[in-house]
Amino acid sequence: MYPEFEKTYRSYYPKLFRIAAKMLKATEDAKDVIQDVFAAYYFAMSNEKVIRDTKNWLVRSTINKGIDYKRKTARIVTMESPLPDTNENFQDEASDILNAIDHLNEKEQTLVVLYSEGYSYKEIAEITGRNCHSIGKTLSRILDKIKKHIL
Amino acid sequence: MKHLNDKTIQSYIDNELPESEKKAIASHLEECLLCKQKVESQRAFADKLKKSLETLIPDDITVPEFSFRRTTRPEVNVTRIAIISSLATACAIALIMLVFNLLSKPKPNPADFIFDYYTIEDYDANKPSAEQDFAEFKMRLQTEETDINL
Repeated sequence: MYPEFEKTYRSYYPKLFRIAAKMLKATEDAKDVIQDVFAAYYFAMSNEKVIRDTKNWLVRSTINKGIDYKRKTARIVTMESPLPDTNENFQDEASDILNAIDHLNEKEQTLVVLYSEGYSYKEIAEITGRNCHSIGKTLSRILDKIKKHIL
Repeated sequence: MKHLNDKTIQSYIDNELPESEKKAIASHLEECLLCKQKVESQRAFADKLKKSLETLIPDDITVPEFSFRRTTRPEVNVTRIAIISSLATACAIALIMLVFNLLSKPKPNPADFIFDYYTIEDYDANKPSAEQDFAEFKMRLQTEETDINL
C-alpha cells in the first residue's frame, strides 16, 4: 500500500462519508460506497492515471457511485430511520425536508448535498460540470421546490 | 435600486457576491422591508435544510482500515448472473439433446421389411404374417443375391 494513498484515505474519508451518508441516508451503504471509491482511486493510482485534482476526483466519484448504488437498491426499502434528535418538533420538520429532497431528481439532490456540505459555487460548478454563474439560480429554484413540497 | 431577484438573494445569503455588490444589497435591505423579509426567510430555510441533512450524519465518524473487501453485503451483479445462468441453461439443453440423439437407436430402413411374397417358395398364405417363416428367404438373400426372382 502506498503511504500517499493511506494519507489521502485518512484525510478525505470523513468528508466523503458525509456526502455519501447524505445521499444514501444509510451509514452502512455509505461505508460501502466510500470503500468502492477508494478502491477505484487505488487502481487509478497504481495504473499511474493522472488525477489533476484529487479532492474533486474523489467527490465526483463518490457522487457517481452513490447514484449508482441508489439506482441499484431502488427497489429495496431500507428500514433505517433518521437518527434520533432531542427536539421532536424539529425532527418532524427535518423528516419533511428529507422526504422532499427524495422527490428531487438526481442532479438536484447532488446539488443540495454539496450545498449543505458548504462547498462554494465555484467548487460545486467544478464537481458537477455546471456553469458557475447558474448555480445560485438553480439553488434558489431547488429550495423553492422543496418548500412547495413541504406545504 | 430594484427589488432583489431570487438568484441574487440566494447568492447573497451564500456569500458568493463581490464586495461592491454586497454593499449595495446591504444598503437596499435597510430601506426595503420586503426584500429583507425575503432574504431572512430564505436564509432561515437554507439553514433548516442544512440542519435536516445533518441529522443523517452519525455523531462520530470512525475511519475504518482500508480493505478491498466490502464491509457489509457483497455486490451482486444482476446482469452478469442473468447472462451466465441463461448460457448455462442453453448449454445444458444442448447437451441433453445431444446425448438423447446418440443414445436413441438408429431408425431401421423401411426397405428392409419389404418382401415380395410371390418370390418366396415357403410363403404360406394360410398363416398370419407374424408367423411366416422367412428364414430360407433371408439365407438366399445373403448367398445368391442375383438369383432372386423378382
